[in-house]
Amino acid sequence: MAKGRLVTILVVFLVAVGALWGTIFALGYSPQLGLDLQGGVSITLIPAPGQGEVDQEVLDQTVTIIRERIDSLGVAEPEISRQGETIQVQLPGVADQEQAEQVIGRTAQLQFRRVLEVIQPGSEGYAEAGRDCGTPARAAPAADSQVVLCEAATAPPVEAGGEPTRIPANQRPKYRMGPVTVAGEQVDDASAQLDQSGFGWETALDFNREGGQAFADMTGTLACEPQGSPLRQLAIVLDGVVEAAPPVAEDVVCEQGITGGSAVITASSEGEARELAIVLRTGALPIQLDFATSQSVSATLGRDSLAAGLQAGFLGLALVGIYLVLLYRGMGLAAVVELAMFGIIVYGLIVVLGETAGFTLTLAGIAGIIVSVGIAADSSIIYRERYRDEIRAGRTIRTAAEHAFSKAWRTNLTGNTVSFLAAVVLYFLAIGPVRGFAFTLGLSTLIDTLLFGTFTRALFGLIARNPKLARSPFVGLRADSFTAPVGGTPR
Amino acid sequence: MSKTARALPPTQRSALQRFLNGQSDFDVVGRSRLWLIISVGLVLACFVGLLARGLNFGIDFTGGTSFVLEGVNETVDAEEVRDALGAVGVRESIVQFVDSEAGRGLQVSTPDVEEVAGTERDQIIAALTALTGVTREQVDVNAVGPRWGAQISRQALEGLAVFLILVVIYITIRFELRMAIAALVTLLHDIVVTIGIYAIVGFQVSPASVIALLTILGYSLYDTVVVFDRVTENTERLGSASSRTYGEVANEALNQVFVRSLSTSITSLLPVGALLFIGANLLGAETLSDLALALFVGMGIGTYSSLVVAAPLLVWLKEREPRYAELKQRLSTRRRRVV
Repeated sequence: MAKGRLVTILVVFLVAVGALWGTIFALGYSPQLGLDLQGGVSITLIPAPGQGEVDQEVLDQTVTIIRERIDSLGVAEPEISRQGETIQVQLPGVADQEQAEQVIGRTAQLQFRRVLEVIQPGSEGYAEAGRDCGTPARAAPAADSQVVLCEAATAPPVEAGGEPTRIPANQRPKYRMGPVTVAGEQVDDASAQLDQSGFGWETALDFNREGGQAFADMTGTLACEPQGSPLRQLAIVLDGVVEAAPPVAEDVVCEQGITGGSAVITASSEGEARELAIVLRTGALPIQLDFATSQSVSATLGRDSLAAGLQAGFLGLALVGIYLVLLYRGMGLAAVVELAMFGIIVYGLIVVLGETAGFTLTLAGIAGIIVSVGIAADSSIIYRERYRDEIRAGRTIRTAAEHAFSKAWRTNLTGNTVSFLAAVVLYFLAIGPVRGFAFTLGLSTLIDTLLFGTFTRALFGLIARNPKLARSPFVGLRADSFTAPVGGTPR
Repeated sequence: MSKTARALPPTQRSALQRFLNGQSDFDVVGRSRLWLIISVGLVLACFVGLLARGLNFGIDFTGGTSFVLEGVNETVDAEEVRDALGAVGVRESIVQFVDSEAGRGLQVSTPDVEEVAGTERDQIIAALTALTGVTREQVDVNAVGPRWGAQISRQALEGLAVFLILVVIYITIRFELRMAIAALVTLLHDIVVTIGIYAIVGFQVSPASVIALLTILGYSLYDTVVVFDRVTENTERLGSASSRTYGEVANEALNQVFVRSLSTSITSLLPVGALLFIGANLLGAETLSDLALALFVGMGIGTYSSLVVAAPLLVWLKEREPRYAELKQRLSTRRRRVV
């Protein structure tokens, strides 16, 4: 290959790398760090056993519901994704692990029941009725019989925008209630809206035909009870907890009830109205899920991990550099430049892919890059060993460099195909953090081949063509720099 | 200015120089029987180790919860931690302290927590924070359900099967079927030995080690492919009138790639070693150290096997082909006549 073409390749390559980094600086890109590096909560869910084969559509639907629920938490940039049967929820930054688990794990079983008796804390029979309010329910309350359930542990905030108050377990009222009259499945739609006065919030419900009829019947019966009687109350039970027990309004006519298939539940704040609406609308998840993993990483631990990963990377790179220089002298230094270029491109692409394709760099991803340092160094080694072979075979420095390139190129392509294959298989079949590892490994392999065919080739070729450099014993291209006994002079 | 190698008489060169020069003449292929004995012995030892000791699965496979606390009160010792855990009903636990610039770190792993998001976990956290003076926000929790490990293992096995099939297809197309078989056997050897070492030493198996196993296979195969590439190149010129057998030419190819194999192993192990060293001093970064450990073990085995398992096996397979068998037969009778 002519010298001019080598120079062209080198220039085009450097311009491309310059453009990559120019874009990064101009647009102010920065790498997207994964949860394990910036802190956050990561939860993996798998379908509970005994549900048979779960089909794709149902899983997608489940992901959508979980996403709506997570959105209600107000976490910035949550990521909910599905890989095969597993569902991953990633909440970056300072997210509350317990709250996230609660929101996701909520089975959201909604029931409307008739209140038969309100048992206030401290009153006679309080301790004996139902179970202790401190222990969470293990199973959904029976739908077709009387039950005693506790009121929710959190009461609406006293003033607008304040924190909700937590009520101790032994101070939560209990409700004795009749069987379920309207079930969550009978709710068609729900939304938060301003009430008629325009100051308060309420959640509007639309029932399906069946549900509308059942709701009218129930409210009709309740309206016949005297004002102020607990028997006039309608309990809204969510996951075995009485969320609210509003009495039927005064203007509802006895034996007629609330007709028209819709109703409103008065809320104390916009947030409460919206949350209830989401729960009512999304209802129960179509499948039962188990928590497979739930991990929280603090921001400090994330920062430490990132620092450790970077340290390991630089230490590894430095050690490899020293080894290469010891083995190949000046050409070893050229190999270090190749490695540095490799690092610059890999890092640049990760930054760009983070901004454009949403690729996040995780700890496993950093491990992938570190492992690929070995692959990149190998390409340089293969080229140099090949070069020495060609020199031993009696070629001149220039032709040896060219012959060595074409042979080493073939080996590089074959070897990297295998590595790339491994990375692709890992990427598509693995779950969780492994994908980040496979992605950076595959990306690095591609970049290694690209770098070898352009930068490495041009750099090596141009050094071999420069008479001054080629003749220098420090560069290590001269035959006697590697065939002669170390430290001795050839006779 | 000389542009060709000055061929010094062999006596003036040390074995190391000849080795670095690619002019070593280790008879690897000729000692096939020795390698066979070593490798079979190794594989058997690994099987015995696996059966006798079994694998030490981490909480990701067995289910359990680990807690990482940073900035722990310096006076707390492991016994107090265990007592505090025992008070909330935790019978088994692994307690580990790490001192770093950021202060004292504590990691507690316990298989006792039944539910991933249950109340037991909150009790443990409360017990730990009360003892160590760390706030709730500074406790990192990693909880794993009992079915997660099975899920990961299944996917790893699927990945392995797909990878092996693809590799056989690729090597058959790029080289030939016999090389694919030799490479496959080498890979299986690597898998068994790596798993065996894990069992014998008692390293903990985490999902990261499973991932690393797959990466090792890619690496080992990469090494094997580089050796095969050279063997193919050198044996291309081998005709019926050649004066050397397939085995001899393959052995020469092996010697030529020795330096590369060694250098590549060193340059691969250096960064992984750095990862292992730095990851060991970091709590909660098991991904790093588990990965590095498995890679460190596996890459060593991969280098060994691509040289002394893959190549001799390939020669054995190839010399069963009529034309190379004839060549070997003819050469051995001729050499006997010469002697």
